[in-house]
Amino acid sequence: MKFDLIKENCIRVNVSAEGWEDAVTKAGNLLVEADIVVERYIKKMISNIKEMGPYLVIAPGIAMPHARPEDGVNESGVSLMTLEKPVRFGHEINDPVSLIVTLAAKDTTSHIEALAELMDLLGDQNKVEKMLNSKSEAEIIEIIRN
Amino acid sequence: MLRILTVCGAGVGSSMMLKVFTQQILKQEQIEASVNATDISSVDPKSADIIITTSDFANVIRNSTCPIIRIDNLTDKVNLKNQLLETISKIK
Repeated sequence: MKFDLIKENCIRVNVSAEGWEDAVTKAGNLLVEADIVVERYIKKMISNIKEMGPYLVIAPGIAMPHARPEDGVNESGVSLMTLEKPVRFGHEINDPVSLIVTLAAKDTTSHIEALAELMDLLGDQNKVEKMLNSKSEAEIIEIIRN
Repeated sequence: MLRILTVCGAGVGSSMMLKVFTQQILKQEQIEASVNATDISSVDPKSADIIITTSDFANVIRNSTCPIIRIDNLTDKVNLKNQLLETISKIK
């Protein structure tokens, strides 16, 4: 990938999560630890889901939780987490979810090309399948870089 | 010019993805249109000829007179393209 929106230190495989809220918190924490967002961003992502529903489940098995730039974003970045056991968000068609892609956008424009690239990755079923079967973070990095 | 509005909850994630894909499709098909991404709380259906959004938001935007394209798999560009071109041909 041309744009390194997905941070290598923000990738985790086979994380165990008890429900969607726990999964979003764990995925969000990767961004907090990398200084990409502040803690309040996680709370906002969760309240957005509660208020607006599970539209963040953007494709079968894939959730892309996010909040807005003013909700505590230091820089644009994405964390990528696969779950040991899938969780349900309450989406009619796309549940259950095994891949959590947490998006932090610093503004509403600069991340567009990187986002398009991310979407091409997530739209590639072969690559998504490989990521879900990855047993290490290094394997996922390999898939993303190629 | 054709005005297309992509809508999601925050205006930075799903709607932005839909905007990018829509622009790519329009460019390929050499169709001129303006594409704007917005969030559900500030959407003005009167400012668009076509609205593209996910099913749960499509149910919210009921007072719209313009066609609404519902997308449940945001990574499925082929489906978006088919629906978009079909909707545009109906408008013209």
